[in-house]
Amino acid sequence: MIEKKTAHLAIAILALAVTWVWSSPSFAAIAFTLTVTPSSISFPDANPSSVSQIPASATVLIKVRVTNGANQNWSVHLLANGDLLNSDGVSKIPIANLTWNATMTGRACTNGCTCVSGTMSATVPQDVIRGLGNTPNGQFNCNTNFLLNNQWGYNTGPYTQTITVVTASP
Amino acid sequence: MKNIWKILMTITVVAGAALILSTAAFAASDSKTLTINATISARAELVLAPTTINFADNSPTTVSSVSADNPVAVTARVRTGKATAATLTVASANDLTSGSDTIPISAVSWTASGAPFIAGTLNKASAQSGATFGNGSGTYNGTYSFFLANNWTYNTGSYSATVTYTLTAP
Amino acid sequence: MTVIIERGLTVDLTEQKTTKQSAISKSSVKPLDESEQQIHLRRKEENMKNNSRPTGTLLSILAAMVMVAMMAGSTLFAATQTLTINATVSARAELTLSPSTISFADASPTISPTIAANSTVAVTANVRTAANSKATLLAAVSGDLTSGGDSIPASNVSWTASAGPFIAGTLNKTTAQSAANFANGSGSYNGVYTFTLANSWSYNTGSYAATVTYTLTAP
Repeated sequence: MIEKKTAHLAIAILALAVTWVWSSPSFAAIAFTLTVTPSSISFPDANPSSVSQIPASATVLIKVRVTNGANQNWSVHLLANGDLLNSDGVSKIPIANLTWNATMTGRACTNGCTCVSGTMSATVPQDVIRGLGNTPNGQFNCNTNFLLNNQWGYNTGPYTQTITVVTASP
Repeated sequence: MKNIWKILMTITVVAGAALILSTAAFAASDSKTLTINATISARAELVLAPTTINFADNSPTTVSSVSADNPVAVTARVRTGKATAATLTVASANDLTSGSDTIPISAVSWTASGAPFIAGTLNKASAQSGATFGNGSGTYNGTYSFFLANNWTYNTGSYSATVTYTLTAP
Repeated sequence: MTVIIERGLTVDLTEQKTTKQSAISKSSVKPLDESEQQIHLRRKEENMKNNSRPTGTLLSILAAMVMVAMMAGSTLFAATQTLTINATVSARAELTLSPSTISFADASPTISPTIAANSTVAVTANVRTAANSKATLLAAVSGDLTSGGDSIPASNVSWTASAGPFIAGTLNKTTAQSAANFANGSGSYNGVYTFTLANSWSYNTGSYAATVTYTLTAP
């Protein structure tokens, strides 16, 4: 009989605890839906004497949808996986030569969402979108125009690198 | 079987040509011109060494022609057009004088070694030619050897005269 | 390219929501009458007798899992995308000479055996080439300096260079001369050439000219 009561009590306490945790804003599981389009961009060759910064072949649209994010700060950041690497296996273009200008597109975000311009890093994640709480209009969109600093010092060849786009909340 | 080889050979040749063409297409070059101008003007330079010569006293009976103590080295440098010739004139406006006594300047003559220098006799009435240059520029070296026609009529004294050599590059 | 969080966590969330909904539906069930309650309680007691330990254990495990998942949820609900960056860099060469004309003034060969040009020539060579290849810079003169029928040998014109990779040299009308020793790879180089003319009395008077073509090649 003691065992039954103990079991019931445990269940009740657990149910209460779970209910409390579930309803507590501080423990609410903020959820993100992230879309990056296109998934690949290119920089064509250009004369560094006339084009100091090469615009990418396409504007990258970053869409983020935040749910369960009441009163929580969140961000979308970019982190390069290294410098731009030449197929020759030797030459590199420092990733800090990659910058972007991010501007809001579509419906505005009333919770202080902002698109953030910046310079790429392979060591420190750089914010491209910042916000607070849920995205009230469903999702928040930033048009991100990437630019590559053009320099005579770059050896010839094709270069490539991947950038990880990640959502984060403290 | 022959046909297959023929096709393979054709493919190889075409691929090779394409490879060569594609390699050539990767090279880049730029050319600039530098114009070099030089101005050469008419110019003349004459060097005589030494600039003073002396005739020692001698018996006219034994030494009818007294040699100067030194020959005179002459260097003429001229720049002129390829169709024009420089000139070298020798002018002596006065006779050799010693107080009120004189020795006629025409008593002084010279021989020359080294073309285009020529022999001559001083003349106070008209300048004499000291060289016969060919057309165009050049540097010329020679020697003048001077002589004084000795005569019992000369009064004793220390005589002197100045002769002016003028090299002209037209 | 849409990624919606991590699958396992989505399941956790769903389960949490389902639990909440079932709790609400239980509270809205119509009350049972007394006999039914007794039967229900008896059945329940019997069930508890038979299954109290396994059910309790199961619930405890489930509760623990739910709590752990909830506590960890805030950091695990991240979405990740990858963006690939490609860049093309092609061979390219750009040469600048300034000024593009220099002059040698007349001077006495006796006083000035060599004549400096009226100006130095600033040279900028920008090259893009592969990491294992090097650019070249050649100076080719079309012929001697000429003035009508007169000429001054081109080989009487020489130059010095202020710094590497640019090098000194002498014009040669038969063979283009190297004017720089580049290292492998791309780069941007600045330097200064200083030209001199060997002076000579043999030059006939006149206005002489020659054209030197500098060719920068990035292989």
